[in-house]
Amino acid sequence: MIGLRKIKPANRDNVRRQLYLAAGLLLCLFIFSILTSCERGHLLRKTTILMDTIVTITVVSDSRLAAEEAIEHVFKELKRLEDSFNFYSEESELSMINRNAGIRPVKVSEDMMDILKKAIYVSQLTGGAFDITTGPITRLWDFHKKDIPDERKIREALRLVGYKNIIINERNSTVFLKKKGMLIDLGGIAKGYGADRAIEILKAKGMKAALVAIAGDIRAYGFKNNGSPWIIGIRAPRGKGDDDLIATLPLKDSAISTSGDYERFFIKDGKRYHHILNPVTGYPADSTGGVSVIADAGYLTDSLATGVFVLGPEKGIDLLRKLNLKGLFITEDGKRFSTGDINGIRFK
Amino acid sequence: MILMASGLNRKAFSIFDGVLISSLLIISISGFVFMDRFLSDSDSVRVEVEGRLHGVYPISENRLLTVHGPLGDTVIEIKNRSVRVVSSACPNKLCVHQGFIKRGSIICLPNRVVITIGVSSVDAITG
Repeated sequence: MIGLRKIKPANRDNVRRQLYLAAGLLLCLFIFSILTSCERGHLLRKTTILMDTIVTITVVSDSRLAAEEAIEHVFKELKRLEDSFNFYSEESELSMINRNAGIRPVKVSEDMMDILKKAIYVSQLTGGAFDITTGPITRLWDFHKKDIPDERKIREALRLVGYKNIIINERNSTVFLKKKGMLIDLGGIAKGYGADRAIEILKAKGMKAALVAIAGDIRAYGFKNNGSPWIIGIRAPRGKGDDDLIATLPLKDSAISTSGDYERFFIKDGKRYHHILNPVTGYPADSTGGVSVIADAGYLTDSLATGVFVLGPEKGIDLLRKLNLKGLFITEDGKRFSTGDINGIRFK
Repeated sequence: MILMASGLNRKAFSIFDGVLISSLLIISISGFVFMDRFLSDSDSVRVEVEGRLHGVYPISENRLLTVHGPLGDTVIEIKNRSVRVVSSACPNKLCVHQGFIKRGSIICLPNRVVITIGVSSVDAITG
């Protein structure tokens, strides 16, 4: 660096002018960056444990305080839904319906009526491959103990499975399960439904953009504060860990869910027994690997991912095409079945 | 800039030049503060127990969390964009002695807990 005292007086004004110019430019650049950042808003991310899983909410907002309040509001709402939809809590609204199976219709809340109608709709779409009345067979399978249930018990439980035996009376707001012993389990749809509700709240609270991830059930709207879309990674079905991805894709104003045979499973005598049960057989679905479904609503992606996995790659992807939805099925040996129109997907 | 300032001749540079240089310094430093604020939320802390993901937490949010490994509880603290293991059921407590880290990993092999600080290339993972 040249010592400035050595600069001739005639040049000092020039140096000073250049310094002022540099300072002015730096100031303009700084103000510009602040202004553009403010336009796009702050990014705030919060994580909590709800619905028996990890919930992460990321929002873009002009106000950090407003973003924090909105996220807290969502957490409270998800807790309320969890309390109502909980299969394992005796206190839940769902347990009240299950306890009265074959006895009497039960008056239900708007949320319960809404989610049941949506679940039945998806059951119809999938021809029963997705079915919320699999509760009796779900209870027989314990993936921690690694025990295969007795075949006779599975057969008995299967008699109680069938979404057509859910009787909904919208005028009276009641739900009745026709057979005693029937059990509704909303585990295959509640998280996606929760993601939908979270996005509704965040939009109503004025958030510019948001990404809601309830475990692998994810819904997004808007763009990140740097103007780019939200990027979602799809886990490799036989990857080395949870962050071993097989593909990434941008998610714009839609939802994505994945169901796979690697989430909860045990291997006995060389055979993999996983948690996605076929409502027709009572045993884990024959498919291998995992399927990701993209649609405009989380309840659809969550439930259809299960239904499509049960149907298998060919039938499942065909169904998604008919429904004009997007999906990618990757089998354990790496074969890909896709609806073929997933914009921006990049395979690793 | 500092070298130039150290070589200043009072007669050659007025008080306005001093103000200018100070402003430049303040702007530069505050720029870093703002950049840190805008980028901070992309950093995350991954906690894995027995090879399974327990959770991914923002490093910008102070918290205490307890995970349950095969030997018992491991208590993890995220504080001031750093992470440490407060207590662990493991016998040698190497993870506890590692103290706060700002980058890299803390691995407790006996209790099968892996804590990693990193910047994720994706916003969420499905599967």
